[in-house]
Amino acid sequence: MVSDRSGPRKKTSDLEGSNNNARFSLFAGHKGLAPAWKTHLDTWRSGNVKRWSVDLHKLIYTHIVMIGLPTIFYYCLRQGGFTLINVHIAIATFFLVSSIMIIIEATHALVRRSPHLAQPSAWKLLEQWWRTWKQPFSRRDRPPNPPQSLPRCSVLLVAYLPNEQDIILETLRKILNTVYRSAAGIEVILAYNTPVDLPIETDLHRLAQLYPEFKLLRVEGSHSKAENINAALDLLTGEITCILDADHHPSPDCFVRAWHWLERGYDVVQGRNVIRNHMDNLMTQNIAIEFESLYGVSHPAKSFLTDSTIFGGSNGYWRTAVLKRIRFNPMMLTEDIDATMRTLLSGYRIVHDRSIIATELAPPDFNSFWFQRKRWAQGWLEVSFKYQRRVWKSKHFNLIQKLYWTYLLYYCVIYSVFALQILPLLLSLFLYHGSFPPSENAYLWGCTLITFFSGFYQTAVTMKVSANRYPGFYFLQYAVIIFVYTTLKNMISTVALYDHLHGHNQWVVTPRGAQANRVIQPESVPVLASTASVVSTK
Amino acid sequence: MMNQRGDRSPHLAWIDGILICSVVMLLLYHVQLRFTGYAYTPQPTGLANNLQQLLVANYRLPDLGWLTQGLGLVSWFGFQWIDVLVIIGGFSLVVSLEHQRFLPRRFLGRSLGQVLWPFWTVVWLVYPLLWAIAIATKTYFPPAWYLFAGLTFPLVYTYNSDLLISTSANWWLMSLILSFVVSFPFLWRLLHRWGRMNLLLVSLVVTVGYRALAVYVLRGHPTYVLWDSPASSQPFALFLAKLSIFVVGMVAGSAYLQRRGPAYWPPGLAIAIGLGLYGLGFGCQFYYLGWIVSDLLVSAGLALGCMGVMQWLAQVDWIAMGMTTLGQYAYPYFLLYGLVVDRVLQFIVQGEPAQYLMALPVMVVGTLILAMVTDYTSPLLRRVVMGLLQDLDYVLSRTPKFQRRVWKLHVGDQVFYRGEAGWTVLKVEKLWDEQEFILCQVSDGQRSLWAKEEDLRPRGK
Repeated sequence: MVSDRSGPRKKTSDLEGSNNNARFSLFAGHKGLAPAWKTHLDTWRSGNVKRWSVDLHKLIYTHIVMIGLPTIFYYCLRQGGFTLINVHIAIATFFLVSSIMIIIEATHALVRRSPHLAQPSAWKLLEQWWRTWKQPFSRRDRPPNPPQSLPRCSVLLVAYLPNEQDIILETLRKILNTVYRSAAGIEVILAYNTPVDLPIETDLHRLAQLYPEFKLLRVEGSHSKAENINAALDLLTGEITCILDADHHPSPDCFVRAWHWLERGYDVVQGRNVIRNHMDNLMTQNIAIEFESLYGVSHPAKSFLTDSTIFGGSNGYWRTAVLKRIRFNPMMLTEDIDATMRTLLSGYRIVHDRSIIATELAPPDFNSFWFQRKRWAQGWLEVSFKYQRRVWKSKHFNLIQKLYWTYLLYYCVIYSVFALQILPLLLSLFLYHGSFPPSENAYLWGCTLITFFSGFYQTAVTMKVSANRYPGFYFLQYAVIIFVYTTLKNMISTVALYDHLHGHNQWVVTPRGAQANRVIQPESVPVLASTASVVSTK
Repeated sequence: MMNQRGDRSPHLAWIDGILICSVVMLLLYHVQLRFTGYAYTPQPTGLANNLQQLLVANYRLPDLGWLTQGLGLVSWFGFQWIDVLVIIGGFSLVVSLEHQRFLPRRFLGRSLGQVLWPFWTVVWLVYPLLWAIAIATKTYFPPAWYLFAGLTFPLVYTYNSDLLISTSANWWLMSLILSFVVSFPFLWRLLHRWGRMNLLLVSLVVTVGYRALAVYVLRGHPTYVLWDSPASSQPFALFLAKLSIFVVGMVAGSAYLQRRGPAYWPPGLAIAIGLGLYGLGFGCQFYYLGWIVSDLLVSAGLALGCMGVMQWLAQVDWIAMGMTTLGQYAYPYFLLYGLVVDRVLQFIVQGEPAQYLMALPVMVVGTLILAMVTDYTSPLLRRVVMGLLQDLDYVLSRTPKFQRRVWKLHVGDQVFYRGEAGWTVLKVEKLWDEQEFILCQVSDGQRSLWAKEEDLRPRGK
């Protein structure tokens, strides 16, 4: 329930419809791979396949320790005459706190925060909330008028080309042809890395000749998104820089909307990411609603309540000067959250605007989902252990912000462990009685009802503020399976915790379409404080 | 005894084999002694008398044929494997320092960590379970003071380990293990200053002299001999009684690093010499005078023979792999077996011979599974605790810790990475985190990695 921390993404592939733009017709044949390098790539792929089942022993171990042993423990205590009602109440309180947070967030998500109300009064907030509530199922406000002062803008597109070669041209087409350009102009830089030469690179070079504003940067020796971004920073000439992943399609008015915040003193604006391939399967449908809930409800509400939020790795709009100063740390698993923390600790401000929409692709299968979420969870752990203590001491965070970031960092680490304790508690009850005897404790019933209500309420609010008109059954099935889904994410989090504390931090590039997962091993021993990222160059 | 797997080369699988064999034999000894109510321990009453007692005692074991009878006979002497662990401890510590500069402080920090963290993990995991079991069964649970002593070991420390024994009988060995870890830097220095043979000779004189004192003046006894003496077995728990055994291991390890010594003997020769020494020591343990040297001879003989057998077995790849895999759990296995055996005997076996036979493999495998869980959990616990302590330190400290840069990094610089030479700076990245900090991509020609500037040192400084 609390897992609303979204990290950066190595995205999935999904080949979309054919290209209707004549300017791109010359690239129509790029999907047919030349035999020589295709053989090479296939060999490269087949040697690096990794399935989620490689983590099965960790899953078993963590659940023996966190469910098996506590079940025996609780069972023995029940045998000894303990009712364990206090333990049950403590765990229920944990759920209650999280549920109340969800309800508060969801309620505040009904208010649309305007750049003109950067420091709103209570009355104006109430008025704004009422106006929003009166607009049934309104999803987006009117597009703002392009300001005269919109400066030169840069789009920094980052790609790992073997993985994203099938979709990169479509993304470029979308950006080059649809994003609004100010009088000062726009530039688009594709910073990519690849271990082998690819035919798509020829196509990209020809595209760069057609579009003078498009620059191509192959980053030699790079093994991460952070290295690609850092390499491109010296080329940036815009005053605002938008960082995008290879599958992200930004809305045309993205810079206009972002500038409204930047010109009012913010340094980074995080937009809203929406799943494009939601119709693929049950998992993508759920992820679509989950993203709506994260980017449409949780993040905006937290930004609204605390005037602080995260940069999610993509669809983020930076003052270029700040970006060039902060840069990205290639030693971190989630370099975006790391950059967020350094940005905030250095006194810069980040805001979330859910009206700045970019579409992206969800993982197409469970395998990709597993590794993606494990990397996010482990990346958050890495950041939590590295920065939590500094947040508590920082003069750039007020008390509310310190509480909020403790909730996002340490609380979420603890939550994934403690939330699981409800299972051994119930299992021991079942073993002891042979059934689940009904409880007469009003507090427990209250907590249970509020917990379930929070899930439904959050889903209902998500439906109201969602960016797309999804079929109603998406929301219904999400509300029904949210507890199973959350349990699954908590299980992944515990495996991530195991990996992190054991110093294992390989990550798997989320594949696009039929491509196999590739293992990247970036760091040696990164626990509690990051150390070194190791990449074999053999 | 400590977990040295990080430093172990693959061709030393036989050490892991000896380790796991030793702890399993200790378990069998412990369970047999407890099940039969200490029916037999070697007495200083002569060989013939002891053999007679041994046969009588063996009849108290459930009989399923020659296999169980044979295993029962061997298990009466399972305590001898403690000395094998002492020898292997000395050997492993020396071998783990191969190609490393010996820094006493770093050694002590690492070695004490390897001893204490698994111990704390066992204690912190097991005490709640033991408490729950005691609640459920309304049976004995150690008083709070003893729990506190275990949880904070070695804060409340007595050399005879009385406070630990109330939880698990075999934890008396913790004092001995800590003694050897702490005295190792001194012995290491003497090893290099005096040479192997001189150190061995001096340690033999010290040990034999002390053991003679223990037998004839301090009035102690070396095992669970039920002997009415004021000092009981305590004099033999002091590290002086085992010093030369440990030094034998160190000397063998030192010779091994120079590609000499027993580790390079042919397995057949090692087994033959081992049997000879063991036979002599075995006979000695049934006489007062023999107590002075029996442990030395038995441990050396048993270790040699076992080494020969394990080296021979380790020639088969999958057996070697099995030894290496299981060997890493030897230390947590040792910490856990007493707890497992006591509870299984109390709650499952309950004196029934049939149950005893069925429970034996369950105890051996069950302890192994728990040892695996402990081994997995120990680093987790360590990092969580250390992380929380770092947090506390950071929050409470009045001056933030910022690294002051003392040298400027350039692409192409030759640097040490964490003390290791041969690295070249490929890229320098300046980032901002309340102040400027630098990351460098460095390469040793084989790998490239990103490192923090504080992990790098210019070559030649």
